[in-house]
Amino acid sequence: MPEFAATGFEAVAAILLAGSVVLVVAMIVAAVSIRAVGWLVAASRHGRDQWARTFLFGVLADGEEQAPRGPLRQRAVADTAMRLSSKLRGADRAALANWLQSHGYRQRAVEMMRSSFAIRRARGTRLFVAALCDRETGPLLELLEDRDARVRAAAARALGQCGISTAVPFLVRAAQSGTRPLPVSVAAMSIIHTAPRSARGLGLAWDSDNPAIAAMAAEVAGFLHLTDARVRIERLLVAGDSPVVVSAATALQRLGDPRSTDAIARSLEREDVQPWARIALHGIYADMHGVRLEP
Amino acid sequence: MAKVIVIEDDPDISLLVSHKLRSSGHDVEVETDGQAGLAAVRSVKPELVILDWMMPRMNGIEVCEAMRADPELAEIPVLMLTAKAQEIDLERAYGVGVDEYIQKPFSTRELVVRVERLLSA
Repeated sequence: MPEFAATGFEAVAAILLAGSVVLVVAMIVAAVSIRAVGWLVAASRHGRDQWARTFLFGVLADGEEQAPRGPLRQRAVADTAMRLSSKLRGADRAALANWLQSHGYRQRAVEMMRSSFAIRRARGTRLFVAALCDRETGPLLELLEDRDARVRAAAARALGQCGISTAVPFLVRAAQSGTRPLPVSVAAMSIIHTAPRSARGLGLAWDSDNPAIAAMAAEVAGFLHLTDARVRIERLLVAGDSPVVVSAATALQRLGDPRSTDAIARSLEREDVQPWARIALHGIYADMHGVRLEP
Repeated sequence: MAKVIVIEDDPDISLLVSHKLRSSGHDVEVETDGQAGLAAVRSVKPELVILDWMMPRMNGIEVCEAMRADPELAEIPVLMLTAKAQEIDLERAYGVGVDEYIQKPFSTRELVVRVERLLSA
């Protein structure tokens, strides 16, 4: 009986050992296969990217290339066009947009923007911008109110990339939205890209009840050096809370108008300004006025 | 035909620029970071360098400074192609010896015109 038990245990152990070996070998084969497939997919994608670049360089040169056949190549062309469009301007940008429009990519972008998948809608905005040469922004403005935050941000970036200053009020309104807000930082960057030429271009942002929006207006004006915004920004030094006051002072520092130093000095007299903001204001005042104030 | 080195880490841009310059009949070499680019400039001694500003390992400003400090490379014209667009950036670039400055996004036609102007100077 003990001999039989020992033999039984050995048999079970042998089966377990063999099973383990098979399992390990299977795992190694699976890992190698996954790696190999991944490598092949990446190599194939890289090859298509290279092909799409060369193809689009041909489009830029003469604009007479025929649309590629096959979904993978069409997708590679769309992806490469999205990337290239943000790196080109002038006749190259127009040639690319014209070619994309005349070969159905604009329509494809609109269909993508109506997709039920957020990531596809966001990709659609980028393709739409690449194919945009007639300054048609309606579909992008609609997506500023999309239910998905990524799509709203993608639409805002696309509007910024188009450089259309009439989109600014829509961007401001989207940033102020209570239900589907656009992040203020995204709105700010998009507005900077549209480059409004005067303080008036920032519209409702100056009078917003939302301190972050008012601060954004000041920052954008400072960054774009909108000198006619000086008085509006100085008003924020009086009316805003500490973050707004610092944003306004930083913007005034960027504008560099010496008339603003008095306004900054007055903001230092405000008792409701927080200590960290007071330190920042001291630094800005000292920089603009060439003096050092003792805190 | 002139020897041109393009030092640019964005493959879309480096390939577009090299494609355009090759179409114009130039001999183009592409490097993707500042250190490798400077080494290529030292060994090839091109007639023009097209340089990005923000790159891994060594930025474009450092590459230009190193070129201007080397008597053998100091006279090679440098065209900077960069997304940096503020006045202070422009001042800094010209301060270290950049000859031409083009902002991204850019026009390949403008690039070719400026390249030809630098090469004929």
